[in-house]
Amino acid sequence: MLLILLSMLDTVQPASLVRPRYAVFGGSGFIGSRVCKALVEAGCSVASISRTGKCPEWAAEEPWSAQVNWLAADMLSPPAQLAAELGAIDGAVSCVGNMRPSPTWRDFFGLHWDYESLTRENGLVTWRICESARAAGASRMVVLSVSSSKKWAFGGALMGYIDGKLEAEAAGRCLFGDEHVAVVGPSLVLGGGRFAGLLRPYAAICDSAPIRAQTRFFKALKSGASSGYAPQDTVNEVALTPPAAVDAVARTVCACLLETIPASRLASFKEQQRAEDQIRDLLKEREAAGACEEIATERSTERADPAYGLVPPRRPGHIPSTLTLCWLRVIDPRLGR
Amino acid sequence: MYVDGTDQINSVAADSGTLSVLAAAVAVVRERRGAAAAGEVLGTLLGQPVDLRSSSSSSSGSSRSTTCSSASSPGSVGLEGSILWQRMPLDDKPADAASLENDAFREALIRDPRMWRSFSRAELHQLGVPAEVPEQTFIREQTFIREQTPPVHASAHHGATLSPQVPEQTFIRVEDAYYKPSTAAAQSPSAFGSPYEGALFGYKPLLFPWTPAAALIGFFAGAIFYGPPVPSG
Repeated sequence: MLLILLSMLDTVQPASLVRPRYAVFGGSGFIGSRVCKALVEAGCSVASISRTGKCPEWAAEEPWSAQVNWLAADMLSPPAQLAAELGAIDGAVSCVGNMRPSPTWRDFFGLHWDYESLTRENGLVTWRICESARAAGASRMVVLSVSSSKKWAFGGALMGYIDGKLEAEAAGRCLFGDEHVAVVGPSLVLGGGRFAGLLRPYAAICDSAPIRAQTRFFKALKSGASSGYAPQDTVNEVALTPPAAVDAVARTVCACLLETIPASRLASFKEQQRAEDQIRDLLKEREAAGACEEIATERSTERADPAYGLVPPRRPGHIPSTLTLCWLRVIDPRLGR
Repeated sequence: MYVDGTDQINSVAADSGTLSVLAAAVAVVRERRGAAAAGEVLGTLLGQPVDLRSSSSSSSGSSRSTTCSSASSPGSVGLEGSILWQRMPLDDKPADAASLENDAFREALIRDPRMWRSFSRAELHQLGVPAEVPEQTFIREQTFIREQTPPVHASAHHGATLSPQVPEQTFIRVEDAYYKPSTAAAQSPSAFGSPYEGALFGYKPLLFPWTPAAALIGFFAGAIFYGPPVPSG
């Protein structure tokens, strides 16, 4: 009996062979490929899913890339089909995202972003990814999103990108629950082959004491006085936010996936988030109040206008940017309020 | 969990994202799995469950092990799996909610009990459920129905309600439990009004015929400066 028992135990796979398997959606991309690298180096089995299904050029000669299962798939294909191609996984990372401008020519200087395609490629695609990952048996999901300061500061043309990212986060939370989803929100990501020389000086400038101080000062000022339309939103929270190195972002994603972040640190993150949200909620309320006033004024004007019937219909979802509103104020202080 | 911004990312990468920490986390998962696999074999041989894992907390355990553990305790048999979810527009809910129920549909939900199971239009039609609205609308609108067997009932009846014959269907707005933030209204005050882009709306400088305009203006300027002098007097 003992001999049989021992012989059966020999057939059990040794622990070193039972590697956790993770899927990286968008794994051929800038951040996704670094996530693949970090996971392989940590000892995981990795499947990369992307449109091309190819290893990126910079990693073709690297030894770790041979250990990644590079798969080509359409993310919008039915989740069951994608899950079948993927096989059983323990967790997944969504590194997909798109903020490219529309190729068609329109409006000011022709450059514009299509709201619908941005929400689809950032939001709907992640919904499908989460569904596929869940169908493949993933118990944990990490969604790569944007930082809250970007969400707050980007408006107008890039609203579709932000809305898509918020939809992606909602997808993760809905399908996996708050406990099993992690969102990583970087601001500008540099490093690797992308503007390699820019990262250090830019980070040094943004990290310098005067810049940090003035960012904080304007935040405090906004919380007390501004209406939320002010241009310092863009200047401070986008241009002067320190960039993140791509390797740091990839390692953070892996830490979220493998749950190595201590609870005390997560609690402090939540506390910081709450403080930031308080300021933003206040500003949102003021914006909403201002917008309501604007509508009331507009409607009263429309009613008084005899040629109201000739006014072309309003375009829903067409959103003026913060910069445009500032220009409006410069041109006529009564506008843009 | 939300790791927000460069500062938090850098701190996490430095403390919790180093190669050694990540490798250690993977090693823990491997060890648990190795022990679980050995336990399965031993359990099969001995005829009783054997748990070789040292710690009972399996936060990073696989979904397979979660399923096994839930299946082994009769009090909570598939409690999560028993919740039937259907994604449908709330406005499409008929006055008689029970009309959504039919055997084919119920069986389809039981076969695939995912939380946010989506059905194609043809599939819904085939199941006898009204499907006038395309699935795109389901995702974009905030009108969802969650069709649920409440966990309280399920635990009270010890699995009696888990059988498809006795479902106590309730329709609850998903916003109670899960919600999709209405981002457009919250983020863009201009979504409320402001019909046009602004003062520069419609201004396409690169589409303006600059060349003929410059030629025309140049012609007049040339005519004024280099033309024959106008006789004075």
